[in-house]
Amino acid sequence: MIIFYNKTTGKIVGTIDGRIHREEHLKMWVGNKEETDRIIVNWKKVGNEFEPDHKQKDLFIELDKKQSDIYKYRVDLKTKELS
Amino acid sequence: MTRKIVIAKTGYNALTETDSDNLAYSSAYNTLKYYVSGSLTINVNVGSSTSYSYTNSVNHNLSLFPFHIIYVKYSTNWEMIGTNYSTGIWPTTYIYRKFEGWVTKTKLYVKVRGNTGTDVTDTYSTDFRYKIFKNNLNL
Repeated sequence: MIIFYNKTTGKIVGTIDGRIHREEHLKMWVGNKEETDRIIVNWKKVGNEFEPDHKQKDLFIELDKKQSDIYKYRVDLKTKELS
Repeated sequence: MTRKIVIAKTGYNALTETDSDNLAYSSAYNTLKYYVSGSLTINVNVGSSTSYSYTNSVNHNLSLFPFHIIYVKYSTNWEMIGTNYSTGIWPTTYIYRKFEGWVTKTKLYVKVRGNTGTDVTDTYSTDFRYKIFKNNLNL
């Protein structure tokens, strides 16, 4: 999942779904680059399973099941984590 | 004889079935090529007697008008784009909201627009879900 958020407020403005993002996804952008930034959460292989390569992996596993819940969160501008 | 891949629905013979409604897949027909999905949101906070319009967008960089689907969440329902709502009494407590979406050769856009009456304000957040396919609409 790629999460786009407002650089000033931390409010999430859009997402791109997926676990492993190709170059064509990485070229995509939501909104205006001067106003929004992004967090890229790729999944990595651990043993025989894949899991989010992120400190908040449990949260991203839940969001992977129901992407529309992303708007219950906002981005902490200091830690770049969802809160 | 042209070779093709056919998967029949349960109860039908893929080797002999000719009715496409009874096939789960046939390479004889074009299919949608799924490209990407995601979400967009727009926040509205407007005063009384206001006509407004806000957009949000994601660039797809496909250089074509892609087949796409956009849903909008209104209350607890997910509905097709293009729906509109009104409530209250004109010109005092009237509130109008409309949700739109479209594509260009480079971007997918969503938009909310509406207006408010003289005695009412409007504050809400609208979530959109989009899917873009790599099928050219040839527009």
